[in-house]
Amino acid sequence: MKLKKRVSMFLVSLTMCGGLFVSPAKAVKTTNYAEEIAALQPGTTPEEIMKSASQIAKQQHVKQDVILKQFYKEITADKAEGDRLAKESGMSIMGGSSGTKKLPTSAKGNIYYTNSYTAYYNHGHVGMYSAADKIVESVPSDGVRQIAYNARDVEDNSIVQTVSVSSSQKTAAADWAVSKVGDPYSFNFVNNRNTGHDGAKNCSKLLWSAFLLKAGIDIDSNGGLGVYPRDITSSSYTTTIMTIY
Amino acid sequence: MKKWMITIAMLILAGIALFVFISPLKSHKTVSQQDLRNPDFLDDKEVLLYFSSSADQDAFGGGKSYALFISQDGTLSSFQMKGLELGSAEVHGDSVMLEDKNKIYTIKNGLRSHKRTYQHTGDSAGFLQNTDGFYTLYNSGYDKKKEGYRSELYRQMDGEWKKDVIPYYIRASGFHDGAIYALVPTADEKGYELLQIQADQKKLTYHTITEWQYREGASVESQLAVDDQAVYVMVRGQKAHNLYQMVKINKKSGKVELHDIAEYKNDEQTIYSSMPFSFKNSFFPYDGNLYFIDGFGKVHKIDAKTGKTSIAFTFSQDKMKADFKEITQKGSSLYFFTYTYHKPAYIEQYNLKTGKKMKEKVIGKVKDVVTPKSHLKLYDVEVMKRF
Repeated sequence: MKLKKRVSMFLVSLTMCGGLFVSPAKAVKTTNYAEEIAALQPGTTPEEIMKSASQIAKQQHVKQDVILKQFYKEITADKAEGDRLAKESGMSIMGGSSGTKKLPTSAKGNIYYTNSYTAYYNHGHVGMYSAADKIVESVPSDGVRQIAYNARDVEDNSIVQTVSVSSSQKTAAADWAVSKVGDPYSFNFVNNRNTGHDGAKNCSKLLWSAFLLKAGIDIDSNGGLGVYPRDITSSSYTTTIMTIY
Repeated sequence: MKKWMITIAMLILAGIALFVFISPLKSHKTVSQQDLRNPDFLDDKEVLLYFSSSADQDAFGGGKSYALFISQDGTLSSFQMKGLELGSAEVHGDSVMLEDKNKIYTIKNGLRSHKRTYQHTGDSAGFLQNTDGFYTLYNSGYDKKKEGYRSELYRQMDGEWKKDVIPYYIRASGFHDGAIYALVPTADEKGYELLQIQADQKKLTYHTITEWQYREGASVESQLAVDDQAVYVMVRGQKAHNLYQMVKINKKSGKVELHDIAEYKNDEQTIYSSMPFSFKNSFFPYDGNLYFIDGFGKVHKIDAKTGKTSIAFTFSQDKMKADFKEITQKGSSLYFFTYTYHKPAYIEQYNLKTGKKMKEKVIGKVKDVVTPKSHLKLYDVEVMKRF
């Protein structure tokens, strides 16, 4: 009996110690994920990231940690790919440019990708042709805008892609994107698949929503929680038709 | 021995003096608004360059633009502003206009700055003779609250800036005397409407000169060029994918004529390379002709009346390989600016009538500001009257 009491007291103490030392450690780790994500995605705060992770966790009946880890895994994988592409283009990881290039004309509903070094890494940028000679895209500060194709300067090795749906579906997707001109920009990439199609959106979200709603296809290649520009260029629905150099 | 040492010392001093005072690469200095307030600031300036980051790189307000002033002695003065994609720099006589996303600056006997509504995308700028002031036009975007497109126009009238909204997306624009001309999409997006916007009175008045239907896939390849008789624009893909044509629209009758200008080999890479490297400045009128500069550096001279075309001259193919290229025209001269990272920049002056190169100036210090990591794009080059 005495031994049993001692064992139970030891277990209670161990649990308390666990409570005191393990939980805070876990909390710090969770916050670290949010902080590291926010550092790669400036414009969002760790608190906002924690909040959106919590919301998805509730919907998916999993712990907040699981979602934060998933956010972190996707954004760091994207960063690694961005760094690899930057190196391949002979640039430093933090970016560099081989000068000014213009976009070519292309068919309505086709898309373009350029390396872009905005948010502390090469996260890339995508836009869509709203006509042979016009682009619709979402850019920081400004949101969704339309611009002449030959007024848009891009980085070396940018690509133009076609999306394998009918031309009427491409037209409908482009028209939907144009109808969103004036929507504000969102810095949230990690969770942009789970936010509404209306309202603030970033470049990849604009294209993803357009093709999902108007062509019934999901052009996010990994189907994660966030759709990033390179998730679109590596989709099985998209094919490169021109590289700009 | 002493004599020998004095000679060496004098040679070293002479070398230093030569480097400081004669070196064509000269120095670079950053200038502040205080420096621009100096009434003499523009006195020795010859060239003005405008670089900016693009909007996708302006996250968290980190975008930058630079006005680079180059003096007669080659000294570069850089003035840093906020970013403005497609922003403009304009020179008229002794006056200069600069802009960023929050402000318009004018320099004439000192500096004046005008804080205006935030803009993210420039379009074009110029000088309206009738109002004796600059204007600048922006692609301001769709206003969800007012449910209409906004192209905001700022005009300098009686020394003050006046703002108006042109409720259209403007695909190309140009100006002549007191009017601004704008090519705007028709409601069905199958054609363009050419608007004449009378801008020399306080209240803007519009009238549609004509509508022009284009073939699907056709592209507008230039800004508008305007003379007394007509408005002109270069298009491609109307008759053939590999053919550039000039659309000429009579200002009074609205009659539309198309003239074949330049045809290229029908493959994607050739067509892409043929694209003008300067959307803003590759097409302009001068002395009864239009000039169109293609992506290969060929200067096409087009008779404004007949559309008959010839190659006036071609830029050096070596210079055409540069990372940055821009052109500007002033009277009978065409200026060609080129810059490749880490190397000196050049500006060449050509005579439009003879095709002869008249002058070349080396600008050594652009590389101090425009580096591969700066992500700056070149949006304007202006030549000042002392060049």
